[in-house]
Amino acid sequence: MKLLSYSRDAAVIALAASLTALPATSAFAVSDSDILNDAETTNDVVSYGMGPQGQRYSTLTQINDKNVNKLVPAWTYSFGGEKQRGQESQPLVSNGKIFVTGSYSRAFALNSQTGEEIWQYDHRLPEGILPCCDVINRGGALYDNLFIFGTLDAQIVALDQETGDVVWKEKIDEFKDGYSNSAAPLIVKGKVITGVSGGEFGIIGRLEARDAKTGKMVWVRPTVEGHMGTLNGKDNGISGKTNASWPGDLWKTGGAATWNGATYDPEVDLIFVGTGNPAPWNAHMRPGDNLYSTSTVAIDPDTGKIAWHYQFTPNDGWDYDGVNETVSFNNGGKKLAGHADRNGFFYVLDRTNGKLVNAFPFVNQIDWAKGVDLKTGRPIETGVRPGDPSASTDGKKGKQIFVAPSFLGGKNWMPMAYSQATGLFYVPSNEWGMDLWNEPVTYKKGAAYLGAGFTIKPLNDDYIGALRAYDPITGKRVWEVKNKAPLWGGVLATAGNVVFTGTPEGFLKAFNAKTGEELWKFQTGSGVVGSPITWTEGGEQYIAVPSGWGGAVPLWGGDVAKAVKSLNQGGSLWAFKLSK
Amino acid sequence: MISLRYVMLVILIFVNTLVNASTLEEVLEKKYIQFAFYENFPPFSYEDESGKIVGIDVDIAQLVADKLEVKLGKRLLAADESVDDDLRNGVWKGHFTAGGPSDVMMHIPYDPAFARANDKVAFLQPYFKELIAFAVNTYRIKNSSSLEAFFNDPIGVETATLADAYLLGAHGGKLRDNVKHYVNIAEAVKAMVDNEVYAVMATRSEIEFNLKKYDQDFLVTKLPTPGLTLDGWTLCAAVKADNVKLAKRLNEIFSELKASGDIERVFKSYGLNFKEASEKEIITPYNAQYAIE
Repeated sequence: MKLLSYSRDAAVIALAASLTALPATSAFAVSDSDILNDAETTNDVVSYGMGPQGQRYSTLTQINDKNVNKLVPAWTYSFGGEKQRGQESQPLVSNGKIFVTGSYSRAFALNSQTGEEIWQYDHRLPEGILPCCDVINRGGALYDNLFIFGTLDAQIVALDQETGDVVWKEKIDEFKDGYSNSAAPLIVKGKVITGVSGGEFGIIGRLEARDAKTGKMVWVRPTVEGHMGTLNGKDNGISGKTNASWPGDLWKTGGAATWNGATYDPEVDLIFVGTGNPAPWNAHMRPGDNLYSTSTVAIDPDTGKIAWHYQFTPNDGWDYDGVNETVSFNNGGKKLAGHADRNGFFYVLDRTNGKLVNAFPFVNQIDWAKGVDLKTGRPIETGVRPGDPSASTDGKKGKQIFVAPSFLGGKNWMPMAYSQATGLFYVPSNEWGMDLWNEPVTYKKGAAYLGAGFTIKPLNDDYIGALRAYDPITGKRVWEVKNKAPLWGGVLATAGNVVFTGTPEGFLKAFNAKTGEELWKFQTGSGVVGSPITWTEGGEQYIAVPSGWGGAVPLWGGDVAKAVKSLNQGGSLWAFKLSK
Repeated sequence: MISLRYVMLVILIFVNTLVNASTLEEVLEKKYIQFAFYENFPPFSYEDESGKIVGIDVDIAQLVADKLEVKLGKRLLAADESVDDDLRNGVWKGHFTAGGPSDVMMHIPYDPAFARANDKVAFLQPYFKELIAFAVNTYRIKNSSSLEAFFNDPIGVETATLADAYLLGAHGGKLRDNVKHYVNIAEAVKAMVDNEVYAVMATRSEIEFNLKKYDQDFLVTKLPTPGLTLDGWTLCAAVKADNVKLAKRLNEIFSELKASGDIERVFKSYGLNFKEASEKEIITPYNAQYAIE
């Protein structure tokens, strides 16, 4: 039934020949090989990250550093309604359609050349659902005739690409227990791979693989030591070793949410998933490394077993989630992976075994560690850690520290790009720190509690965001472009020597990939915090990006939130091509 | 911390739009007042087996509505990260997915420093005092006069409560390995009945209420808790700070309900001991200065 490794050209011919003979869905079925070859095939974008390795690199050159200033809108589409807020999605393109998710767990399919709507899917959210960090979604996955995405109430929904009808729907977990889902799913070998987003308390991070066509569970791999994984419904070994890096029974509620999705590299046949901070928040209460929090965990896609892990922030005390994407790249015959962490360091790992190859700061100020020991792979801490609230007996506000980066990170969820042409990583980074202190008396659910206070502060008067180009081998910063507001959108690099990214001020911008010179910008009407893509259709190269300000910054940003108060919300998808 | 956190609001009577809480005049005209309560919070506010919203806070709110001669709207609100957030969601602003604020929210700590930090809210006079307590299996724990008993024996807490945070750090972490975490106090008390833990540390109300289900004799007591800055706090209802007339009227009603013994009767009907907020712990509502003539 499924047409394996169908070439795209052949698919077009097949359609012409057999529109009536075959269901259209099968003729355009997105296959595993389509997804693996996504980075090479320029007439579609069938995966988040423009290839499961997550490089966000296109070989297209029609739009290039010489003519990008002639980029004009091809069309724009409004997500409509009152449901605007943050649009952090990356669109997908296949078979003349562009698929994009919107705030409040919505999905849209449009004609990719005209922007005309084909269908819209509004997920029915439970009454009064109340997420902490905006109602964003980061995108979907294509497989076979399906468009698959996760919802705020922790479900995974597979829609028919032609009609938007629900083909299957599975519950990831109970949203009432604090679970959610907002990352784009990953497709590996016919399986749809999803993580969990969730609350601070009591949830356990995990990665799950389901049959992408039916939603049936294949394996589950918890990302906290001590928890049992499963394969085809049977026990499949616990993750790590129980209590090896946690005191007492804290591993039972250890956090390490996998809320930003995963990448995959077929060369080493491993899935790379990032994990969030450990719980409880007070690191003094959980001496030990608290595995596998704040790590990249490499998982075998067939068995769901952990192959290796690398932990960025052992015994995290600053809320430096390790969820940022791990991007595969090759250099000098070495199979490497790049990861720009919340904690301010850029890590280069050997992706065959997780060994540290290089680590360097990608922000100007890092207070919590002097560097990373390349021999042991561990951070060289400075001792700038929040105080222990249980050590305070006088009932006064605990010791206050200032530490950079802030918990929103040197880089947050927004995906960087790697250019095969320049060999550089393009990292959307932010320069900010935070005051952190213990509050001996705060209140939670009508009761006294020991809490922490924080205020995020910009480090410079004139900018917070900075798009930076790094050579991962030397650690050298090749260029940077500053931005007044914090950067919060994904990056795209092309062989045309152009790098694209958006700004909260509303611009989609193009830069010279070698020099950082700004070549073009366009005002989209609201902040750009989504991820741009590019593809060709009808002989023309298109660029598309969602627009709509929101996400965690205005909700959590402290002093920074004041600085971005004037930015207005929105919800639209923009497509551009060269003027004729 | 920043991974997505969910809180759910179940809105039972009104489908909310972002509107302001009602003034006293509007409450009386509509003959309706909406209270927000914490969800899943026995014995104060929870759904019984039939799905009905019941509990001490709900019954007290009903007494208030009866005094006003209006209908009571009940809205369950899950706890956000802090009560500051709950007050924003429940009383003065509402939330961008869950709709507008309610007129009143129950079970809010009455604390001058907390009130100063939440100046958009008027805190009414408190209706009772909550205490931190221990339930101890005295057959297992012979010397129940200090926490040292738990250097070697297990003690249960609800995850992410004051008891949890305190015991993990108490005595330089000597109890840490013996602190067992449960999703709520009902589960922790059940674990004590099953001899998984020999004590539970929690609020006295939750301990007393959950112990009632079992025909076993546990000691409910205070233990010395060195370093714990607060082992009790008073609780009140709250309204939006500029809703001055409503704050004033509700404050009068709470005075009447306290004086008549009605509030104490509600606690007793749930099998709980009642501790009044002491006199020095307030008469005037915080932040609603204009309510006081």
